[in-house]
Amino acid sequence: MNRDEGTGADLPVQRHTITTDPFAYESVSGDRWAPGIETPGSRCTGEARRRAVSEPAAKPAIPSRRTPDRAVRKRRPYLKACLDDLERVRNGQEDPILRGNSLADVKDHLQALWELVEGSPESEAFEEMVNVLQVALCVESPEALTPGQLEGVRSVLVKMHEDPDVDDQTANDLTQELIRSGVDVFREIG
Amino acid sequence: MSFVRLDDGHHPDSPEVFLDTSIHCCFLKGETLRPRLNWLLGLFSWKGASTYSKVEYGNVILAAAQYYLRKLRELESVRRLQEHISHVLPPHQREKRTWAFSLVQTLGRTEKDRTRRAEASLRRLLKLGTKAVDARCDSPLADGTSCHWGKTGLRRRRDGDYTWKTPNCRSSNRACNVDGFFVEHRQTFESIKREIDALEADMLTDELRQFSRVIGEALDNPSILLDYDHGCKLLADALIAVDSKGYRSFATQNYKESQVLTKVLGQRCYYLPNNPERGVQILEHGAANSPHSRGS
Repeated sequence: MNRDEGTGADLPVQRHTITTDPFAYESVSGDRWAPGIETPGSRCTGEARRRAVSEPAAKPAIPSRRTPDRAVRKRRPYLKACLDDLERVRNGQEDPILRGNSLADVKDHLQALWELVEGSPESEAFEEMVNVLQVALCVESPEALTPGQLEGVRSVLVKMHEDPDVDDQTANDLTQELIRSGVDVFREIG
Repeated sequence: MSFVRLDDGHHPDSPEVFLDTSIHCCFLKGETLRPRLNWLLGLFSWKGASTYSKVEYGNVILAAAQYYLRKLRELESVRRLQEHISHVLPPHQREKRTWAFSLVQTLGRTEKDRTRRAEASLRRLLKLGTKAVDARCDSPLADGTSCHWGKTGLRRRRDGDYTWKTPNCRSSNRACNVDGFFVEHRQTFESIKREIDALEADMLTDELRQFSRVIGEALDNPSILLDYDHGCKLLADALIAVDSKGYRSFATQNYKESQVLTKVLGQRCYYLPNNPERGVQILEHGAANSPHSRGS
């Protein structure tokens, strides 16, 4: 039976057949009833794209994150705490006890951060960087670290705090920055 | 020629020093070398290297990191990995006995944690790749050979892991300027060959004999150097040394070859022995040859 001649008395199963007809979408574009008139959505010919006034943006407005936002947000307080304590290590020259305690606090925060991200597949690069920072600060007293090394660690922490979604490229840049500031980043291997 | 141990009051002749590949590898050799390495580098305000060192760094350090990482994942324990390296590897694979993971023992609280940290460190080392050479030197590096493999040897596999590919350069597919570099410095290479050929037998090493032979062949046909296995690989240390031309100080761990090369190039040779009791040494041309014979 030609479905265009349906009277409304067809069996439900036949009506169902009509709705699943692979060409049923044609009726949406009006091609069946007005052949020759192209609409932006007709036949997926790319016409709609061609007629579009605006070009698609070269990049998405918001860069896509590999790590879930919630996981990224959880990292920030630890990194902020590290930065605050590291500031006391750098500036507390006249108080060696304060410096020592502050360094111990930075290590504790980094350990907590390590436990937070350790083993998570989407946090691989971030996990590596936390490990690198722990190695960098694995000294008995703050005096073992030069001002240049402390500045290098601080700079890396600032960047990780600004964007805790670290990928391999960023991790490479941060590792190089640490090496340049005199930090022995692969000390734990040797 | 003889090596003399340096004292704290040493003042170098130049503000710059050229680091050969062995020095780049030293950065991963632990605490026995670290203080002396820092002291030596602290004498200079400018540190240079050759881009060709990246290939050697890849062949030594990155290839080892790749092996350790694979074995660590297989054995699932850094302790078992160390046992495997110490007790299972045959003697001819002793070059794989590279790392002790000393600090991992301090940082990790459990074996699982230590293993996880060792894996994270090896991964990071591998991902950083030959950029480690750039990071430890002042830019730009000497790039006489325009070595192609140093930039492309590190690949990312489909599973996301990084892997170091041993060079397979062929003279039929010219990808670098090693032949042009040889032609440009032909006279220097000839001088190196002459110096080697004039050495007494007890000073000759297999590597020096190889330098002489390959230079001889390349003087007839420089394009043989484009073939990695039969060309530039066999001349690696000499290529790096010639790339250091212009530097007045040269730091190395390979004293046997470097004492000849630095003599030809008119450089002061700083030698960093593995044994901490020997400190840091400097070559003085004109006497016996071994750093162990005097001055240490």
